[in-house]
Amino acid sequence: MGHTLKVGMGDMAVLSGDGMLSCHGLGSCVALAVYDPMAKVAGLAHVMLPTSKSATRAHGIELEPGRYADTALKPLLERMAHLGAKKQACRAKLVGAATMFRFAGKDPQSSIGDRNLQAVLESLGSAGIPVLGQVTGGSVGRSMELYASDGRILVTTALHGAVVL
Amino acid sequence: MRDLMHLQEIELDALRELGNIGAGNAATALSKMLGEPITISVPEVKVVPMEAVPELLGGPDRVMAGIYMKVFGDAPCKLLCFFSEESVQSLLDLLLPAAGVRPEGLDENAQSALKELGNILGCAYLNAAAKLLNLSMIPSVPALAVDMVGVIMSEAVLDMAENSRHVIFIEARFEGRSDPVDGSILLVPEAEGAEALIARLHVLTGG
Repeated sequence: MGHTLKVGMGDMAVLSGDGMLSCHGLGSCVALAVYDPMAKVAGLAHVMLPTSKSATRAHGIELEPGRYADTALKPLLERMAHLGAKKQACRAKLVGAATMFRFAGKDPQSSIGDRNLQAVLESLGSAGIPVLGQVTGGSVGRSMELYASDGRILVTTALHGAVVL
Repeated sequence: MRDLMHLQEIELDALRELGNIGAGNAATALSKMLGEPITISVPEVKVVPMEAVPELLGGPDRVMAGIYMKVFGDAPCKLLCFFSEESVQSLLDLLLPAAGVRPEGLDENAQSALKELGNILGCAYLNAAAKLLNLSMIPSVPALAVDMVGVIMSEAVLDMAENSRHVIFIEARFEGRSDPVDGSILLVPEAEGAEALIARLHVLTGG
C-alpha cells in the first residue's frame, strides 16, 4: 500500500502509483477528483466556496486556490502534470455539494452546495475534462477515498450507506 | 477588523462568562421542560482555523443531531445545539411518546419537535446574552441536520470563510442526571459579532 493522504478543507493533493487520497466530512464542500488512467495519477481538491471573486481579497486574505471552485482546477492539473499526467487523458468525478440545512420558507439564494457544484462543473467544462460521475446534492454528509491505482472512489456516509463511484 | 487569532486572553474570558450565562439559562429551560436536573460544563472558548472545523466535537466520525440558528442584530452569530444519538432517542420518548423513533429515520413530527427544542434552548441562551449586554440578538427559524458532527459544524460556519481565516466558538456541554440527555450548545460569533460582544462586555466590566 502506498501513501494515504487526507485532503483538508481548502487543500489539494496529488498522487501516483497505488496510494489513496481522501476527503472527510464533506457537506456543501465539493471533492473534485481528477484521474489520468494512462499515467495512473490522481488529484484531489477539497473545494469550500464557489468563487474567489468575493470580499476575500478586499479583506486582505491571501488567495488559496484550493478553497474555491473557480481556481482549484488549474493548479491541481499542474501538479498532476508534474507526476506525468496528461490533461487530455484526465477524467473527473465529484462528491459532496450537499445542502445540510433547509430552512422553512423560501431561500432566495441557491445554497453554497449548489453553487459549488455549478462552479466546479463550469471549470471542468471550460478545461474540456469530462465528468464520469458524481455523488452530489441532497442533505447528506459524505466522506470519500480516491484510489490512485484505478481511479475508483469509495463514498461513505454516516447513516446512508456507501457507494463505489 | 482584527483577525480572531489576535483576541486577548481577557477578551476570551469575557466571552466564556457570556457563554456561562447563556448556557446556564438554556440549561434551566431544558431542565424545566424535562423535569430533571441538567448540569452544564464551564464553557470552552476556542479560536481555530476554518480548516480544522470538520474535526471538532468528535469530527467526521461522530453522528449527532444539530439544530442551527442564524443570529441577526447587533452581534451576528451562529447558534448550534447538538444532541447525541442516544439523547435524541430519550428526548423524543419524552416529547413525543410514540414508539419506535430512530434518529436516522426521523419523521416530520420528530424533526419538528427537535427543532422546537433547539429553538427553546437557543432563545433562552440568546435572551440571557442580549439582556446582559443590552444588544439586539434575533434568531432565525431553526434548521435541523442529523449527520456527522464535523459536517454540521463546518456547514454552519462555511459562509464565514469568505471573510475570516479563523472561527471562534463558545461551547458548553450539558448532561442530564438520570436520563441519557447530553449534548452541547455553541455560540459562534462572526468576526464582526465577536467584536460587538467584546465591546459591550468591556463596558460592563468597567474596563
